Amino acid sequence: MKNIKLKVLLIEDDAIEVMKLKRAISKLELEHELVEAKNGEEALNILKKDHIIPDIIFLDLNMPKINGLEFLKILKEDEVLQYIPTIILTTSNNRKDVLSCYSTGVAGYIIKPLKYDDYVKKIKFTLDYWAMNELIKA
Amino acid sequence: MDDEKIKIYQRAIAREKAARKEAERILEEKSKELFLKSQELKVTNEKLEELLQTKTSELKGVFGNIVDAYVVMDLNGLVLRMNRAAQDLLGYSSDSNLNLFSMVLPEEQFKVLESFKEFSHKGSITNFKVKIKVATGAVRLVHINASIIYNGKNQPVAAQGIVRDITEENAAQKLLVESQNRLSTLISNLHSAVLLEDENRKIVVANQRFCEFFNISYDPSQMIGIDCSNAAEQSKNLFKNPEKFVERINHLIENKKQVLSDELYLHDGRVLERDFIPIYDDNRYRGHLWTYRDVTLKRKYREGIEAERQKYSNIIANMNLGLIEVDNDDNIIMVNQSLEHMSGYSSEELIGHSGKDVLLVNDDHEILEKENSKRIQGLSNSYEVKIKAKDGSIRYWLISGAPNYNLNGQIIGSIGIHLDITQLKSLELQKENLLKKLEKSNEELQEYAHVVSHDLKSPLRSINALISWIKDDNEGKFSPVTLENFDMIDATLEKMEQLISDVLEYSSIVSIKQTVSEVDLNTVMEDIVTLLHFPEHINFSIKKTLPTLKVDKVKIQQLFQNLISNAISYCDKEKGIIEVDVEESFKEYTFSVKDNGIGIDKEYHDKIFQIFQSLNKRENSTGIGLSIVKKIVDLYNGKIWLDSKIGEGTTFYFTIEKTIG
Repeated sequence: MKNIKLKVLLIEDDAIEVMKLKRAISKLELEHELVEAKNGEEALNILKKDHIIPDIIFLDLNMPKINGLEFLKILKEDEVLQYIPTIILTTSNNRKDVLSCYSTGVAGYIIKPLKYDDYVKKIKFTLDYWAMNELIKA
Repeated sequence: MDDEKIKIYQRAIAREKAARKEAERILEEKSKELFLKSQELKVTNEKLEELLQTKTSELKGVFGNIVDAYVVMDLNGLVLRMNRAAQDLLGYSSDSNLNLFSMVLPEEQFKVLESFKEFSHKGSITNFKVKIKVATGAVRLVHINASIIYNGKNQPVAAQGIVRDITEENAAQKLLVESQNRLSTLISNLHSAVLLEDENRKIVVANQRFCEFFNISYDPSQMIGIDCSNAAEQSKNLFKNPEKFVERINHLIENKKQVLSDELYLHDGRVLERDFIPIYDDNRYRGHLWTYRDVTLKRKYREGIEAERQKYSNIIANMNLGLIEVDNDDNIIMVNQSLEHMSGYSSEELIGHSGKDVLLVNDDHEILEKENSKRIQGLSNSYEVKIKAKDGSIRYWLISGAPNYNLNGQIIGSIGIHLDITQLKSLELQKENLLKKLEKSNEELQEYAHVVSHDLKSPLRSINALISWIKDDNEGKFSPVTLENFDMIDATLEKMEQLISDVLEYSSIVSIKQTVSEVDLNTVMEDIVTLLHFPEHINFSIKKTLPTLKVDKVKIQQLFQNLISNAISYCDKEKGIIEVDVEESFKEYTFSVKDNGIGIDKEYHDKIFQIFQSLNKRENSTGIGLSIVKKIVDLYNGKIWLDSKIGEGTTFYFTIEKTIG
């Protein structure tokens, strides 16, 4: 089985969170490419202006300016971008959030565990899963 | 013969001569008298004979022409003679050898026989009545006066009698008696007391009722003839105003004019109505009739009705509710003071106008028409309308209307009671707004709690990650004590995380109707068993099949889960037992979760339900678990309590009402 290299867009305002994912990927010795965006606006710029189309998007919900859900809605209205699997990565298990995320259209909803080790495991499973998937390549 | 002797003889002869002469004179006189007498007698006889002849012919004429039937019969009843009237009555001619006895009806034979015996003995009979069958076959009642005829030797030879047909007279008599009876029955049974006095104030008739009314111990028949001139004076004390009573009676009798319905008030509380009717015969005053009626009950009813009427009109006038009476065309007939006050219009401005035109805000015309048509069908109803008062302000009125019927049961309009609910309405609107606000702020609070918990949890994650990286990056460089401290940081972070989760959960327990559904508790138990990790040494059992409740599944699961996980946590026995049970009563279920753990001291039984009260400083205890349990039980109007013995175990009980919501 060949190693599939995913292009992952992480939309996250917390620098440590970004580091966590980065370190997790390097610790797992995976070769996925990480594109960072500090918020929804920046992410839209990357997607629409820079025309960088990722394989999957990791999206935090609690962010300044455009929050995660708002970003998701914009994404789903876009003819092309709506097909990018978007996985929510958040600490909130608010039932209302989960419901509205799924009804808008997300590919997954991952709650960040307290322990970093648990987090690394979750990230591994998620990336492995998406690496197995047949994705729309731009 | 001596001279003397001669002289004596001579004297004797002389005396004899004189005596003879006297005797001859008397004789002569007497015979003359006799002659005269016989002469007289002769004349008288002649006269008598003449008289007799006249009388006889007279009698003959009389008998022949007498109006009543005259019959002469022999002693066996055979008719010897009868006059024209008798022939007409009996229907036979005088020469038809008629026997009167044969005409008598069979049932009368015995009576006739008896009477005839008496008749023969006494020589006459009067007033004898008998029914006979005349020649035409008709039965007639006849009245007979008869006498026996004797011959010169005083022997009875025949009988003569006058026969009168009284059939009709008798029938009329009977009718008269009957009608008299009827009248007297009527009078005696009248509800009115009746007293009839003649012109001299003597009682002619009084009835039983009269005696009853005035407590007279006489029988009505005994009253007849009693003088009443002093009656008023004697009975005046029965009445409340005795002097006036006497005065009035005197006045009536003096004036002799008909006066009806005088009212008399008696001491015993009765009220009588009296009529005075003078009786005139050919304009001549013949007496008067008093009639009395007991109208006490009628009066009481009237007084009662009057009092009720007064009461209700007082209520209507003084009540705080506006009242409008309208006819079938919605024209106002009557309004009370309150309505004038409520609307600002005077009754003159309202009466005769259509209520909806004057008072109603246009948009509500439809409502009123709909409700009015309902009322015409005889339904009572109540509804709210918007009213424009005279000063232009908008008022909300609650109207309760009912159809108004006339005496014949036809609907002639309706009566509406109006309550100004403007204030109530604005309060209601305020309440609605407040509720909406509250709902919103509740929601916001929920959101806020989530955001806060997210924001609080994120740094914990970061700290954990950073420590993890420090350890990774410096592997083998830290002393065991430092590593131990790192572990303690981790444990603290975990506790912090749990605390935040519990607080969030506790704040999330609010009643939300949308999440209520039919929840089968047996399924909930299965979920809990999967979710919780039961250590090997603990035996968990459910004693009975659990009911299905209409609750929020997440919360009810949380409730059981917290109690059961507590039971697991505080188990100190080699073989732990946890039992879930339920008892059903009429209105609620009582659930119990029983363990054989460490037990809880009595003094903490209330305290443990308060937030942040943990009895044991255990690593994974935040002191919120039982608070959450209590909050959920409260949400379902239940109670929670416990039985416990230190070292032996604890049983938590809680109730949930069968009908929630």
